[in-house]
Parts: sequence; C-alpha cells; structure tokens
Amino acid sequence: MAPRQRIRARISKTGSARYMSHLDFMRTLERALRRSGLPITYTEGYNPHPKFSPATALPVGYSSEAEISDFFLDRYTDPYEFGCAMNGRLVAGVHVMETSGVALNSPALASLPQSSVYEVLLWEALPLEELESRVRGFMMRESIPYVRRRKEVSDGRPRGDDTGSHEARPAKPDTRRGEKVIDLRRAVLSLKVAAPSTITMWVTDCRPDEVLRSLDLDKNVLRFMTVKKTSFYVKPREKWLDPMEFDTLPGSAGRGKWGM
Amino acid sequence: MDATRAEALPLEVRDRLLDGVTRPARYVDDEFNAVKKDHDRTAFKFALAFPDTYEVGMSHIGSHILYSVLNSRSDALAERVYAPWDDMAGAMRRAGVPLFALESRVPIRCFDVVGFTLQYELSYTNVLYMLDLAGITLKSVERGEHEPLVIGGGPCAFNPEPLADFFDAFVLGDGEEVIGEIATLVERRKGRREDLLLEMASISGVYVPRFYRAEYRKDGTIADVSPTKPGIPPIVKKRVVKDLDKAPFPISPVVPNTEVVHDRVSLELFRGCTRGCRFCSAGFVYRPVRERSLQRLEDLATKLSANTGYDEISLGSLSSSDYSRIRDLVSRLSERLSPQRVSLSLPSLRVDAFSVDLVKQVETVRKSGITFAPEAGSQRLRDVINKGVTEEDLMEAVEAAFDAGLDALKFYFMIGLPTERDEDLDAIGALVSKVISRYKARRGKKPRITVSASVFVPKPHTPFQWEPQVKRQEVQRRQSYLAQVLAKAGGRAVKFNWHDSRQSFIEAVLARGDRRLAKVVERAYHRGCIFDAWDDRFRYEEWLKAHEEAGIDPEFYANRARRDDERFPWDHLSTGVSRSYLAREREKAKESLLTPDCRWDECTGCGVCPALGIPLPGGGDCSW
Repeated sequence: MAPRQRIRARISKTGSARYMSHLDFMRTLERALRRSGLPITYTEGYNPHPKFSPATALPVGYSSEAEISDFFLDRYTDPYEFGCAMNGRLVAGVHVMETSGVALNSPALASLPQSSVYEVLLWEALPLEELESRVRGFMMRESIPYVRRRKEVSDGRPRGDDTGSHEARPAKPDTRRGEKVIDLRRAVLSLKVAAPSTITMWVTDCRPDEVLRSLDLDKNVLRFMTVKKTSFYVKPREKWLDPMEFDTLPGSAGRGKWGM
Repeated sequence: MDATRAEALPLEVRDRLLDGVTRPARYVDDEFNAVKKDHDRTAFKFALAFPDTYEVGMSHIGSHILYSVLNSRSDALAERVYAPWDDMAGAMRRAGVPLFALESRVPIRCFDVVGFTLQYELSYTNVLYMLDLAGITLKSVERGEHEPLVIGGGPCAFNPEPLADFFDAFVLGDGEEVIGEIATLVERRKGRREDLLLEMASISGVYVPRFYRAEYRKDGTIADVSPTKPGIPPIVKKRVVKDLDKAPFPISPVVPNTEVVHDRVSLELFRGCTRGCRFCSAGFVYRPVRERSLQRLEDLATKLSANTGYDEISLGSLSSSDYSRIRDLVSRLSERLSPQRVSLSLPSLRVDAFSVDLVKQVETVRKSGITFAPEAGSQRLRDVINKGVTEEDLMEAVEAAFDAGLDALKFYFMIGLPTERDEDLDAIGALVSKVISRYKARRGKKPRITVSASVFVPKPHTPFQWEPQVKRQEVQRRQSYLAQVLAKAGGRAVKFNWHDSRQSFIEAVLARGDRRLAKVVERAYHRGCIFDAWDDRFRYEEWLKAHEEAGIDPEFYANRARRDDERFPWDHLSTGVSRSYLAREREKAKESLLTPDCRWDECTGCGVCPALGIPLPGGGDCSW
C-alpha cells in the first residue's frame, strides 16, 4: 500500500541516548513506532520494517537537538498526535521536539546537500585568546586537505565512526583501505569561539572533531569534549533551509512542538 | 542526599570513563522498561550479575524473569550488572571506580546480594573478574560483615563445587519463588553473616557450601561430602515451580539500546524436556515438563509485543515443536501479530518434517536458514544417546526444507560421544552425500551445507556422568578425519566448523570438578584468563599452568572413567532424578536401547515427580 501521509519530525538525542550508534537509534525509533500502535507504513519484502528516512547519521557520543526524519503512514494521522504518541513510547533521551506534515512527493532529505551546526564544549579550560587565534588561523587558510580513514577496534568490529589524520605525507588516500581526501576548509561554513572553551561551527561534509584536530590543539584538550548538534539545514535550491520549513504543508493542521 | 545515594557514580565521571571505549551504550542505563528505584526507600537491594558482556547477558531470559519478580516487590529492587570489556575495565581501574550497577550507578558492593547466573563453565573466571572489579572479597569465608552475599544459580549450580569457595550460597532449580524467600530473609537480617547463612540453608533449594566438608580418598576420588552443622540438609533438592501458568513472566522486559546477541523477545512455552537425550544436562536438570496454557501464551505474546516493540518473538523452550498445541499457538500468534509485522521464531526444533512445516508457517525460512541437530551420524550412535531421530525423519525434514525453497542447510553434530568409532563419522559423510544427491535430483546443482561439530563434554546429573571425555589428541584426530570424510562427501559444497578441543577440555574439567579446583580457577584468573568462552580470548596455556601451580591433573577430571559406585562431587545436590535411573539409562545406552518420552508414553521412572511432589504428567504412580 502506498503511504497516505508523510510526517517530518525533529528529534533530540541527548543524555545516555547519545551513546547509541546510528543503527541503535534506528532500532529505537522502529520499536517506539511499533509500541505506539501508529499506522506506520511497512516496507515490502521478506523482512518488513517501518518506513522512515533519517536525513543523516549522527556519530556515537554526540548529542543532538536536530535529528530530522520523515515517517510514512498508511492512514492520515495528525502530526501533533503522532508526536504525542511517539513521546509516550520513546526511551529517555530520545524525544520528538517538532512535527509537521510534508508533501508526499517532496525529495528525500538524504538526497539534498546538507549542513549542520554543532556546539562543542571542551572540558579542558583554554584561554579565550589562544582558541580565537587558532580559529582565525583556520579560517584564513584557503584549503586544508585531510585524509579520512575507517577505524577498526580490538574486537574486530568496525566502530562505525571515522577517524583521520593530517599526516605530512602527500594527501594520497589508500582507497583500498577506504581512505579518502577531503578539503576541510571548504567544508566549514563558519567557525566561532562562542565562550571560553566553547566553539560553534557550521559545517557541510565533515565532522566537528575533524575540524578540531586541524586547530593544532593539545591532544589532552581533544580527549574530552561534549558535542551537540543544534541545527540542521538542507539546500534544495540556492539557499540553506530548515527542513521543518521546506515542503511542509500549509495550514494549522498538524504542527506540533514539544519542550525537552 | 544521604550516604547510599552519594555513592552513585556521578554522571560526569561515567562519561569520562566512556570516552573512547568500544560500544559505550552497553554501560549506560535508560533503556526502555528499565526499573529505577530509590535506594534510600528500598529495604532489599539485589544486583543481578551476568558473568559475560551486556550483549550476551541481556539475551538470557532467566535474568529478565528474576529482574521482574524482584522489582514487582515494593520492598525490593533489582539492578543489572555485566562483565565490562577490557577497555572499560582498564578505564575503571585507572579512575578507581568499582564495578557499578547499570540503573543507579551504585557500586554493587553496596547491595545486599550479588547474584550470578551460571550458564556455562567457561564463565567462571569472569565471576572472579567481576568480584575483583567490584572490590568484593573473593573468598566467601573471608568476606566482611558488610559485604554483600554472593549467590549463584542457573544450570551450573547443579555442580558448583569448583566455585564453592567464592560463593556464600547457590540456588538449585527454578528461581522465581525462592528468590523472594531469600529477599524476605535478608531484609530482616539480624545478627551475623554466618547466622544469616545458617538460616538461608534451611530454605528449600538453597545450598550453602561452607556448611559442608568434602573428604577425599587416597586415589583422589571423593569419600564423602557431608554437613558440618546440625540442621543442615545432607542433600539439597532443587526447587520447581509447579504451575507455570501461575508463575510470573516479565511482560515488560528491558529493551536494550544497543544490539544484543538475541535481539528479540523470548516467550517461554514450557520448562523442562523429557525426550531424554542422554548427553543433555538441561534435559535432566529442568525436569519435569511444565507447559504454559495456550491462552496464557497468547495473552503474554500480545503484551510482550505491545510493551517492547520488538519485531520478533522467539518461542523458546528446550524443544519448541514439542509444545502440545504448537500448531494452534503458531497460527493464533501469527494472525494476532501480523499487523505490526512481528515475526515468530522457533529456536530449538525436532528433526522432522512437522517442525520444518512449522518454521515455514512462522517465518520466511530463507531469512534465517534452518539448522538440524541429529547430533550423531549413525543410527546406532543416535540410539546410544537416545536422540530418537531416524534417518527417515531427517530425510523427510530435509525434503521439506527443500520444498520450502531452501538451498542452504546447517547440521549440528557432536564428536567424541561414548562408543563413537570412525564408522560413526563415516556415517555423517554418508548422510551429507545423501542430502546433496536429493537436492541435486531436484535442482541439478549442489546445495550449500554447513556441518558444525562440537566436542562432547560429559555433564553431571546425566547418564554419561561416569564417562571419560575422549582425549584431546584423539579428538583432534577425529576432527581431521571428519574433515576428510566431508571433503570427500561434498567437496566445496560443505563447510565444516569444529569446536576448539582445548576449550571443551577445560569445560569438561570444570563441569565435573570438585572443590579442589577453586585454586585452579583463581590462578587462571590471576594469570589473565577472562572471557574464556570467547574463542579469541581463551588462553589454554595459562589454564594448563594454573593446573600445574595448583598441583592438579586436569585429565583426572576430564578423561577418567568413573567407577560405578564412585561418590560424585555433586551427589549431595539433587535434581530429583534418581542416580539409579541415570545408571539404568547408561546401561541402556551401551546396548543402544531407546527410552521413550513420558509425555506421550508411559512413565520411565526417573523419579523426579515423586521427589519434588509433582503429579505425574499422565496421572498414576511413578514406575520408579
């Protein structure tokens, strides 16, 4: 059956929930959907599962107030009711914060250019001036090549997150080992010191820890930090838009907002 | 904030610990359905410990049952704790953080009781590892007045002697009733630890090892294990829940936030199994069979699905297709759960066409494949072990699987069963050839076949408790012999997996060990043996050195044939099945004689029903 309704939700992932991997998070949403009894559309095939599409994947350990996902339903469901039903059946730390109906034929968020705003809190106290000069240095450079590679852990299972290096060697990635080169500078739209030990950054195709590692900070400073995604944008045409405002259906019907 | 609360590990400290450890989600609370109670307002605190990782422990249904039984009491709380992986343990040690319970982050040494589930022998060093990380004194008699009671349960508690020094008490049999009795007793705790244990020893099903003395003969065998105090029962009998329908079942089990080994919800159809496979410990220690009613199961399944959101319900039992109304159950549940696309799975099935049909009904077999466990290749050897499976059953099952569109099959066998000869291994090859040619006749090509062979470990309380384990060199010879046989039978179409004979050897030592092995377990732990059940973590050389240091010959335990009248280290612990019955079964095994299942046939006289005060399944008197 073709879905009748598409609901976009902004979801938070905070507290203990930030230790969930992306797959864990997907399963969590799936189970909450089943528990809620909402008329979610199921995929076809041998192994049917609830149909929803997350815009991006969040690395393990990051918290977020802007995980966007589109949910497909078999019957018309009021987006506000949807949010309430989900919030009643979700685990602590995962919370639907905003919902809105979306045109069924709107493009998938994952197919659009994306950017995110992160707030990074370094646990180590760092002089404001030092941090600011590092940030200025970064923004003044024209290009910052960076080799990104996948990491394996001791028990043999990939950890599901990436690590990289700025080794002095020419940026020639070993593609067989899944390495690739990115330009970090181009990926950073803005980078600011918001308060002592607090950095905010707006980035497209890179992760905040990759940017931080390019700031030449002390290793110990990078060891402990808290990262929170605060906003997420897509660029369907020439401008960055909040997905909660993009292709969402007009009218008062079915908008919901919840506090944390 | 008072003293107990203040001991909870602060969140910031935990977060620092978790930075950089593998899969941190397994160390945090806040899973759906986790129960959090106030330590200040709860009289009795129980830490449910599983001596393996979170992923393994969360897959164990017994722990979920006890968790819900304890937490349903207003005066008690239960929290979970698992063995942290090395990276986490290292971080905890460096930071001086003792092992803490998931829900409250309170150190488990501040609980009243730490209860370990003992599911397999190769988890024993992990018990010491967890006690050590918790800062709890390893030896029971050396523990201080304010340390928790350390108790153990699960199938290995039927011969817990290698761990006797480290435990204050063991619980034999079904835990759901006795755990409440222990809670009530400990809560009223007055006087000394020793007195409390004395009182505990009077609870039926509770074994307090310190009140028993073991004496040995010159030849190393046991002379006697007897009580050292008046009022201590000379034989401890297991507990059974008589009416499983009335027994509590967790309808809101904790749903993990991260992927675990069995990532599905389990519904226990029945407890016990009377098929009487002679190698199978579970078949003897969990007797008799007690079924849940169809109505109750339907009700439970509906609630489980709604409360967990899992996409799969596993219909668990020792042999699920033996549930008396399995067809009705499967069709009713399929109908009820299909709107939410919840599938059913049958984890342990008989080898016959009926079972394959059932699987076809509940799941797309392509998804999970299908495993048959004939255990032995020849009819003679299958009769020795009382498997009750004929080649006809097996071939019918295989045909049914092919009918269902399957082109990959798995077979499970054991190497080193009593009386096994090379002909029995040849028979495995013949069986595989036959399966291949049946498939070829249909599809014109070879199917994919996986043959897994474990190494037989003689277990206490079974008819094979007298038997020696085949020596390691010989096991290895048979493994390579079987590999050749299979290569000839199926070539590349057959994948052969075999079990590490070294692990099976240590398992065999511990399974029928006595109290003298405590030293070996402790030394093995200090030599760095943990997570022994994990193939890549098992350290055989260290285990051998541990035996050497303790002056103990492991072959005495693993490879020695016992005299008929030998006093066993577990003879003071009773499953209800009589020793004379096991001896009779052993004799019948030697003659390849079958013993029927008392569910469908007459009473075989194992003695469990009269011993535990349970009416016979078919009424009447026990033929024992």
